[in-house]
Amino acid sequence: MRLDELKNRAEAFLGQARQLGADEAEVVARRQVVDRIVFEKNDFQLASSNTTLTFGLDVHKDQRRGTAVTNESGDEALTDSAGAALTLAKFSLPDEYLCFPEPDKIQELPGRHDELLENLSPEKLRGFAADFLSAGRHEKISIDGAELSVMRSQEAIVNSRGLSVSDEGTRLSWLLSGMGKTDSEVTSFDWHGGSSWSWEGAQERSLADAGRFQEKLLRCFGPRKGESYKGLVLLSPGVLDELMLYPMKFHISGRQIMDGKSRWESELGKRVASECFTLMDDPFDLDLASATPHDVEGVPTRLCPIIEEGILKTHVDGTYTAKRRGTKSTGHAGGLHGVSIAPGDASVDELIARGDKLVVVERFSGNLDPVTGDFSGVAKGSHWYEKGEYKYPLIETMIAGNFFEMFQNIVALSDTANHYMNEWKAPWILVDGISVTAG
Amino acid sequence: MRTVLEEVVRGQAGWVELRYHRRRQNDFTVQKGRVDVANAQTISGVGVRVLENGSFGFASSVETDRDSIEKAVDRARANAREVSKLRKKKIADLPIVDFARGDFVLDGYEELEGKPLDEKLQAVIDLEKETAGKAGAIHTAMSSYREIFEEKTVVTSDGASASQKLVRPELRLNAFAERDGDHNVGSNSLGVTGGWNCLFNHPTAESIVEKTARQAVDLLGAPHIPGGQATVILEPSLVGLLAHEAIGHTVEADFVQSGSVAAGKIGQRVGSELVTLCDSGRSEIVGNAGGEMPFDDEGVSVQNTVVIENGILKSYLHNRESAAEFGVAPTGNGRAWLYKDEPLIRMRNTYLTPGTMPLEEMIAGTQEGYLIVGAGSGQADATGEFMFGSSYAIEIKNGELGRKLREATISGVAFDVLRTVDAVSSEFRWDLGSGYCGKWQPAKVDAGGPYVRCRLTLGGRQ
Repeated sequence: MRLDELKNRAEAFLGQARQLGADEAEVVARRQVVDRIVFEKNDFQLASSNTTLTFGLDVHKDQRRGTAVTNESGDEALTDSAGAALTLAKFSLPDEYLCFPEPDKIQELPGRHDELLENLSPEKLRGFAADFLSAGRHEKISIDGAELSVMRSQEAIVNSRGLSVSDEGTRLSWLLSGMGKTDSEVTSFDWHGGSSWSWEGAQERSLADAGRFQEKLLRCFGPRKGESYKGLVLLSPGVLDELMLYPMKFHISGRQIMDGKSRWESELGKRVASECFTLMDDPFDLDLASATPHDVEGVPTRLCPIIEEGILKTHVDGTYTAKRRGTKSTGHAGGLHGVSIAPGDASVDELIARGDKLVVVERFSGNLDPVTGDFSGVAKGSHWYEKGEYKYPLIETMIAGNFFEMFQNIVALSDTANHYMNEWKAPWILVDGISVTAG
Repeated sequence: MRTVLEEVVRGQAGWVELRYHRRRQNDFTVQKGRVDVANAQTISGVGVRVLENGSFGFASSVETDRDSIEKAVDRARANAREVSKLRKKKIADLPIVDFARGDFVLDGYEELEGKPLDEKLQAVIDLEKETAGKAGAIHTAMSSYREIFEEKTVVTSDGASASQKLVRPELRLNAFAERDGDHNVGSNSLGVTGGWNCLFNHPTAESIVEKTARQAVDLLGAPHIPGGQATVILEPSLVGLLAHEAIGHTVEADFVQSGSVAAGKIGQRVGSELVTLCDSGRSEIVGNAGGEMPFDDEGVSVQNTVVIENGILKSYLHNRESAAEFGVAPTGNGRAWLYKDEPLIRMRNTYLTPGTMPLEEMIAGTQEGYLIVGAGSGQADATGEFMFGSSYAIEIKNGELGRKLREATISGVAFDVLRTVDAVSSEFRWDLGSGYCGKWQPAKVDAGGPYVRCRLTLGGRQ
């Protein structure tokens, strides 16, 4: 299907909804073609191919809202779907702030669609999979699962205010998961992977990720319990999403502010993190899988400083929450697009050497309540250091603390920032005041 | 639909599995007097799996006419041939098993389908309003309702031919409280396989507004739990989480074949004599468990699988392929999330069987420890090491319940913890019916059990 064909179908569906009585409406149409190879139980298990086409409809009628999603794209099915959304709107509560965005100019973001991936043959994907698996294999590693996939996606967003945005992309993804295993020992489970918009360079990066997967697991043999203490721990880029980014995104969100759940409603221009911490949303970083020139409503994205030297610079909004809060959309319907944390000025070894006792946390298996900021969980695949010297991998060792306190207690960041699994860009971060409990 | 699938299968050579799946899902979320979500979703299609050259190939079709399904079969065959070039060990023919045949409609489907949408939405609006008004410290309440109508037909070339209709409603209630700068959240949720009345007759639904509001307010200013090893009594939702996350995943046969900690332990003692753990496609002991189904996505009739009996590991959980490899009968655990997903080994309703001791007696017999309440999210490892969040803990001293404590994440090594079980209550309930399991694809599951006393690690403050 051509992109303009998808757009035409989205517009036709929008017209149908208007004809059925919607005052305002928005349609998001997405088509995806995914080829996948699955590896499990140390052997190749399955190849699959799926083509999906889904239509999402949002209608406003008498200041009431209803939505519907369907992959049944016949005329009758789409009429049923529009009818369902309107029925739900009829039963819904009135909301004077309901709105859709006006059209705006979207900046071009080339580099997210690759003809080589669009037309990638099954043989080439098979060859890529074989090389990736071969690089991840080791006599002391059991690979529980691996997935290689190539996705070709098209998207069209249209609304009754005249907005019309369409976009297409290709994405090659690779992921390995498993555990170290010998006759006498099974290590903690772990995974690593990445993705790319284009074929070029993807093989080298996937092989490097397979090597990183091996390295993480091979370091986990012979684990011991740590010691209980309260103090410094070093967070790897891999744990930052759960421990820092998730609660940070919660508290800068216009929706959470609107609902009275954010603790940062009145913190604009104030210190929310240590002075050494700077974070921005970079939607144009093509090394990230979330790079995009527009948000899920079709509003343009922009480079957006969130926290600069510890000071909160902005809250983020989509069109509805912005109207409700009396502000303008920042192009963040659906959330941030490219989290990038600025590096510091110390090497990872220098950071490790700062603690008499130190846990280096590679993976966090636990819970964080974004409202209270409290977190606790197991430090998985993690390691114990004393005075900068490596001692042993850890088992049955838990960490606990509070996000708000931890953000203020960031001591230092490493001097390089990496694209972790092509999902966010971050350095290693040394934090203080964390409770470590040996089981 | 069954006739179309049977016709397609008849025209094919070799092993073919066709699965039609239509899901209709309605979601409502009400917060601060607004309807944030009122969504109707319909997703349908046919998943096709073939076995060719000793390898599986999969493809799907959104169109459900005969021609489109046959084209998907061709694509699945091409995929199987492609992966067979990489696969070392070829899959042998799958043995014939106890296939489901016929049409099944589970209780509640027609009742919930017939209930007007406006009545359902109004109930969600009322619940939010009632919760928000329960206490001055509550600044925001949120209520959510979801109903998933599943319609599936499975036909295989070696004998399965059956269809099923079932519905799974879920309800969630949250209260957000603040006092003097201290924040807390109260949460309760429930889910069943059954109708509206069945959902609201679940024990968790009883006084859910009061429970949720009280939980949010009572824990304001409450101290954190201290970290370290402790004796704990786990309530049924947490026992269910233990059964599912810490044990259940390690005994899924695909994970066993990858080298999980349960590999090679059949016949060995892995828990105290008080521990009997099962996974069932039916609702055992009490009805309407959230993972109930008449047959799995491979067309195999479900059964109750005893995984651990009086502390001895008895069985793994199987799909058709793994059962053939282990030389046992499949246990009906082959499940797929949508038509475009291939069946994987997944749990259904996982539980510990009840004992004979009343909860009061168990508490009275505990000198020092905690009653842990409310399941949060959980994860487990290949090693059996697990972590679960919980809502809160109640201190036990000299056999009596005391103050409430917040933030109780618990951890341990599954089989080690099972060996420390020294009391199992006579009460039983399913209590994770609103939960979803994640393993490449989501799956709707339930879990539960009695109250259980054991020793494990609390991830609190130093």
